[in-house]
Amino acid sequence: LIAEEIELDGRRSDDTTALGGADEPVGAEPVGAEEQPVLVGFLLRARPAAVYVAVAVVGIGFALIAMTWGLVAGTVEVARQLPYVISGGLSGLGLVIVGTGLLIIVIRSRESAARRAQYEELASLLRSSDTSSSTRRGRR
Amino acid sequence: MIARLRSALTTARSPAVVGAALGAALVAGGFLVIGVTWAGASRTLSVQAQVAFLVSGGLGSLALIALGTAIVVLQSLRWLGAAERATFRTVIAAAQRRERDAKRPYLYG
Repeated sequence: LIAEEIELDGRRSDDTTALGGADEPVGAEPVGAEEQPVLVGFLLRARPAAVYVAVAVVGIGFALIAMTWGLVAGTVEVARQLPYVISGGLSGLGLVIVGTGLLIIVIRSRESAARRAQYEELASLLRSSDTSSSTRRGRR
Repeated sequence: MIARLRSALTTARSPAVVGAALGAALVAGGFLVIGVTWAGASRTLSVQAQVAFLVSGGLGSLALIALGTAIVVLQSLRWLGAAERATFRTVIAAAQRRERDAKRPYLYG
């Protein structure tokens, strides 16, 4: 039994690889967020600060677009308006896209963290009930 | 320290991180192209030439930013999915072990 015992520390074991999805990113060890580098860990831990950062990036993008509008409206020469559109308008639009992407990642990672916590709770419940049933069996 | 460095190197080599880094590079490249386009367009007062800059550099940079962001989002979602599946495998493993133990004959029957 010891030889075929499955590691229950969150890592995959030989016994369970067949159960895993084939679409898993090769080499992307699905380790916990606490083992990740700082930036990845910041996103995966799904702290509220990450949400604020993403919302701030979107906000800066919109502010840049508004500022561009103000500058473009200040001149009637199209040749002077276009550089503003390129520098301010496109950069603002880019920041909105990037911020939205960050927001998707952060929100999804919060959901994922909650789901993982539930799985871990279920696994620990199964393990504890397993231990108690073994103890009962030993007493018989 | 060395263990941390080794762990960071292993993580950096994983395709998920490489993909996310590629996406981030595309986003950075997109913003760089915006800068180059602005420099080109502000150098001339000919609207025809500026529109050409806007179409090539402007739209190209937006496409780069959108593509890069999509890659980063997709890689992150795949990473999170893999982490969830790994955690769920511990539940399956615990259930399998429980079932195996239930099928074992009693030692002290």
